[in-house]
Amino acid sequence: MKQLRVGAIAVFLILASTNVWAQKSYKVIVNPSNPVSSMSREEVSRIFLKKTTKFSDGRSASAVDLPVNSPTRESFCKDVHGKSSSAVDAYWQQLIFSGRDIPPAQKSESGVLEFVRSNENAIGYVSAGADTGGVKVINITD
Amino acid sequence: MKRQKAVLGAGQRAMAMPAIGSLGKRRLEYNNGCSSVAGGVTGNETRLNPCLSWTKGLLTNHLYYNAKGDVMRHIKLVGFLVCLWASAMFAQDLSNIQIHGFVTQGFLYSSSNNYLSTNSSSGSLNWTDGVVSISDPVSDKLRVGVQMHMYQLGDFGGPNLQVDWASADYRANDKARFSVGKVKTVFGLFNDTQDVDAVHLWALLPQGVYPIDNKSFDLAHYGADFYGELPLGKQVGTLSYRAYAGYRTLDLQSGYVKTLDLMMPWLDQSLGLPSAVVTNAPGGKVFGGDARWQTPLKGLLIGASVTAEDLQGSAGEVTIHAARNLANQQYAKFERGRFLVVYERKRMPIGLSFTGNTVMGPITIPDPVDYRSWYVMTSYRVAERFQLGTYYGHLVDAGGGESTTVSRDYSKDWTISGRYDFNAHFYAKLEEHFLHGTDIGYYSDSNPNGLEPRSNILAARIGVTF
Repeated sequence: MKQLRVGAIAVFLILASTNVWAQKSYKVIVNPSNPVSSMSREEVSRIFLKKTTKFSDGRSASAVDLPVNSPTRESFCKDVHGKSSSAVDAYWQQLIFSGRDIPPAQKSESGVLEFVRSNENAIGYVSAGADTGGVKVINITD
Repeated sequence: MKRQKAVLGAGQRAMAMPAIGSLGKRRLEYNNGCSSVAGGVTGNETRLNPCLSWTKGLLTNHLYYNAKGDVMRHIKLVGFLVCLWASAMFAQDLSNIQIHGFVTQGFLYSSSNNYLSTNSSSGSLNWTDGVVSISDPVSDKLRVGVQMHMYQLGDFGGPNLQVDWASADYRANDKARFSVGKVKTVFGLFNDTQDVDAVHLWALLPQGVYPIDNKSFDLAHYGADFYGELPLGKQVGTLSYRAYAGYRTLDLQSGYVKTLDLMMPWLDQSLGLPSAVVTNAPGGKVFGGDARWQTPLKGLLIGASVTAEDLQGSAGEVTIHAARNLANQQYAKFERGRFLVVYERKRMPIGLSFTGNTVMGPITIPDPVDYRSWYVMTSYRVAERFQLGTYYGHLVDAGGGESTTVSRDYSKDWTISGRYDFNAHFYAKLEEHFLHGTDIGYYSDSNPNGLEPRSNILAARIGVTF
């Protein structure tokens, strides 16, 4: 019995350390008029890296980002882009200074919420605890 | 276009050493010529467009560093883009404009030989870069921007601002995008970002493939690009492609022109002509393309670039000509997590020749070069703010059947580098180069006593970005 308990605790610790049960610390949001209800990580990543400017249904997508030092942004970058926030910054610096593109506008969390509320093509993300009244939270799938 | 050793023997090279004097003379000519050329262009600006008047200061470097015909083309194109950008600014909300920039300061110290025209054997701080870029997303599909650049590395660059790029970018869709203006040239993995110090671990990229003394020529072209990206599905990956056409001109303050200037005294003397320096910078049409495949293996990128261009210029009574040459570069990059491995190889054959209008008629001296270079690099992010890496770079000039065992015909560079990011905007780099061979990066006027075949070089750089 003791061995069983030790084994169960070990399994729990392993699962916890691999974030299997971890909750996302951010929510991806769109305008309520947007019919999309879920998106894959790759779709979201491509929009935020401006590799595409459209949602899968063809409507324009306009991304808005959080500031570089935001913990929510760090979490979003690692989960969606598979890179650290600084690595995503380096990606943008390459594009900015080679004249190829510029990053999405950066706003505070309230600014992101306001932008998404007032732009039907907008997509953004906020911390998991943010009040998302007036916007639509979508599911992120693998 | 190669350094003087391509046509000079040992004794002849010794004759070229007094080129220190001619280089100084050339600088004097710049200083004297600046007012007259700039004055002439001022008159032309009035005829061109009043919008250009405020760009005069910014464009001064271009004005007197390039020959008259090219200057006019540069002014028209850049002026058009600046006006387009300005009109776009006033036509809509200014809050979307993004301004970014960086400033870097470098230090070079070499155990022997003076590197990159600096006085590196005594330690040199003559290595500064600064960039400001302004971009305006006019609409979802159209973006305009301009980037001003100042750099100084030894004798290269100068204190004046240059237009690094100035372009309008139209996105019809993800598969079809267009850029027009002065556009950064995509060639290999890093050509278009080789001057963006902030994004690289290295203080100096592998010089055989990305020679910093010639970056002002390699970086950008005047013309148009078509590019896009084609997702091929999860099982196949993504294909990115680009094609461009335009023209570009050697910067009179670059390594290529310095090399030409250093060989001109011997060339002129051989042809019985009065000594001259390059005043009509060689330039010509350029066509090229790049295709890169983001493979289904996560983090693995494979690609190839090709470019074809010809060059025409003159130095006094000597015309400089390079027939259309085809340069190519292949590359592979694997990046996963904190780990990066890159391999690139490049071949750049140039059918260079010089024709002198002598009393006996035109005499042509061929001087072909065939640069073949490759490197392999790897890096690891030890901690969030700390990266370590190493690369080995190799270059040989196989032009004219030259021996690959003579130190002036090759360059081997083993490098160890580290970078620490104090925060998101401030970083420092420190690296050591173990150089063998003297084919690139050295100039006879800064090494009047000749070159040692081996040299260790310490390169340090700090930078601030915003």
